[in-house]
Formats: sequence, structure tokens, C-alpha cells
Amino acid sequence: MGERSLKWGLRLLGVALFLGPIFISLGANNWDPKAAVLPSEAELNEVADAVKGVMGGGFSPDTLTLGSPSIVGDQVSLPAEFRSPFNIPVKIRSFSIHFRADGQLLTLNMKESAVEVPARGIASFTLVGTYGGPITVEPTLSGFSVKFEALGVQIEFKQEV
Amino acid sequence: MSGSSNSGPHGGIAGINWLGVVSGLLMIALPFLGPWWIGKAGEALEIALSPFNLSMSVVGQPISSNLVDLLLLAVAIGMVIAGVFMIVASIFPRRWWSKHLIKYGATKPLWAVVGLIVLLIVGALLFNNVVAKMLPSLIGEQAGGMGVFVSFDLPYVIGTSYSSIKIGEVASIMAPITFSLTFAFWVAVATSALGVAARIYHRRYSK
Repeated sequence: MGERSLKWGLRLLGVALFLGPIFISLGANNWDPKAAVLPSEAELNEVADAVKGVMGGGFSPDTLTLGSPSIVGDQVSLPAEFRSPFNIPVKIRSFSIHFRADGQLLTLNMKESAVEVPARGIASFTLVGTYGGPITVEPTLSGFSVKFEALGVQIEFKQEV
Repeated sequence: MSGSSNSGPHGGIAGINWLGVVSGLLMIALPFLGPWWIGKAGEALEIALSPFNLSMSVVGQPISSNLVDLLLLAVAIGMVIAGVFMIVASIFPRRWWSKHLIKYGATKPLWAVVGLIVLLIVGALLFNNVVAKMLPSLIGEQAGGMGVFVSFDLPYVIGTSYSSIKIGEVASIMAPITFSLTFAFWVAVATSALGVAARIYHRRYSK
């Protein structure tokens, strides 16, 4: 008799440990299975805010400031200043900017291998490239591409102007 | 009741099922040893999982499910109870209830280890073959119908891979995915082996 009771007791213990949490969780969430299983609305909003917070205000015309170019031979060097809109430190892995002048495409690439930018901080780097011959008209921006590393994730943007 | 004492040739300290005692102690300790498996997508997403706890964070912000937390708490309580049963049954191996308590407790760590591995393999299979195929249309709608190319190749249980999402020619995101097993997992494997060995060894007391 005792042996049988023990067997049933152990079985019931297993069932209670499985069903107990389900009933407690459903009861605490007004018997709404969705509310019991899924994270709360407040938690999801906090995550959304955190992701938005990381992105900061996004890119604006003030994000990148280009200085005056210096030309030595066919080498063009252009100082650039990046004002980070991000609320976390990021690393600029590569930066390319494309200009068009006299039907030619001039591409300037970041000279540095990588540039660390503090959260909402400013970083300076130099864009360098070569051009094929004398330019008779003011070059116009035709696009850029940038590769960031933030929180161990690589993000690449390309924009044609 | 048969075998109601530990006296005789196998009585006293010699009559104790030491494999069961050690296994029981480890079973009680297991829920407090931390995660068994950690999955990371860069530093943006982290999942720490054990049969007793699940913690997820996105950009450092924790996410939890009330039901999952309570179920895993119950698994932790169940493991501690099973560990206590193992110890008591191993100290009094000739009592009539001993074999039932051993039977109840001995395979709990093994099922926990097998369950976790199966969950991770099924999870990676589902993600690589189902979710990764649904993502392009979901992201494409958000991205104004731009062509979206998704490459997800989650490792099975452990390993590192790179997953990427490419949105048209405009943007791409690439994250290293790293899955690893922790020291606590290997303690659980050792506990499973000890539990099974203790159960087999315990048969000698029933004769």
C-alpha cells in the first residue's frame, strides 16, 4: 500500500511541477495565454526604445563635414569630420565618397584602417583618392558608402545622390 | 518491510550508494551553476539558457516570459527535490522506498541534458529553414518593397557563423553568431552519467 502511494505521490509531484506554473502564470495574467507567454508590452517598449536610443537621431546634414581638399599631383586629400548620431561607441571600418566631374567618377576612400567614434562623439579622418586629369567644373557629390561596427554588428549603408 | 536497515555486510558507510550521494549533491547544485549554453549575435543580442533559467537581452535590455520563467523555476525545484531524493535513497539503499526515489531522481539530469540539446538543434533547424525564409518578405514590407536577401546559418549547439541581411543596394547588416556551452553544461553531463551509474549500482541493494 505504501509503495503504491509513493509511486502515485512521485507521479503527482511531477504533474504538479508541470501544471502548477502554467496555472499560476495564467492566473497572474487574467487567464490570457498570450500575456503569459509573451514578454510584457512595457518590456517590448523598453527594447524598442533601447534600439532607437542606440540609433540616436539618425543621419542629418551635420553628420559629415568635409574640409577643403588638397591636391598634390593626381592625389586628392579631403579632411572629414564625423559627428556620431549614435548613443553608443562605434567604429568606422570604411568610408567612401563619390564625386562626379567632367564625366569622370572620383572616389575618395578613408585613409585610416578604422576610426573609433565615442558615443555622440566626433572623429576626424582623411579621405584620399586619385583623379585622371584636370577638372574644369566643380565636382558634385554622387554618393557615399560607409561601414560601421557597433555592438559587434557590421552595418553598411550605401547612398546614391 | 524488507531491507529496512543498513546493517549487515553492506551496512554503515560501506552500505551507502556513494555514486547516488555525489550525483544527488551535484543535482542540488546544478540549478545554481548558471547558464549551460550562451548564444550571442555580436553584443546586440544575448541568450543564456539552462533548463532552469532563460535570460535574453536585446541591446542590454532584458526580455522575459512569465510562463517560461515559472516553468523553468519548477524544473529547478524538481531537480533539487530529485537530488534530495537521490541522497536520502543512497544513504538508506535497503529501505523499500529507496529504489523508487532513485528511479525518480537518477535520470532527471540526463533528460535535462538531452532536452536542451534537442531544443537547440530543433531551434537552429527551424530558424535556418523556416524563419530565415519568412524574414525577406517581412523585412521587405518594412523596407518599402526593396529586395531583401537574408542569409542565416545558425550553428547547431556550438560554433560561430555569420548571418546577414541585405536590403536592396542600400544597407546590409552582418552579425557574428556565436554559440557556446559552458562549464555548467559539462557538470550536468557528468551528473547525468553519475545518476545513471548510481541507478545501475543501486540494483545490487534490491537483491
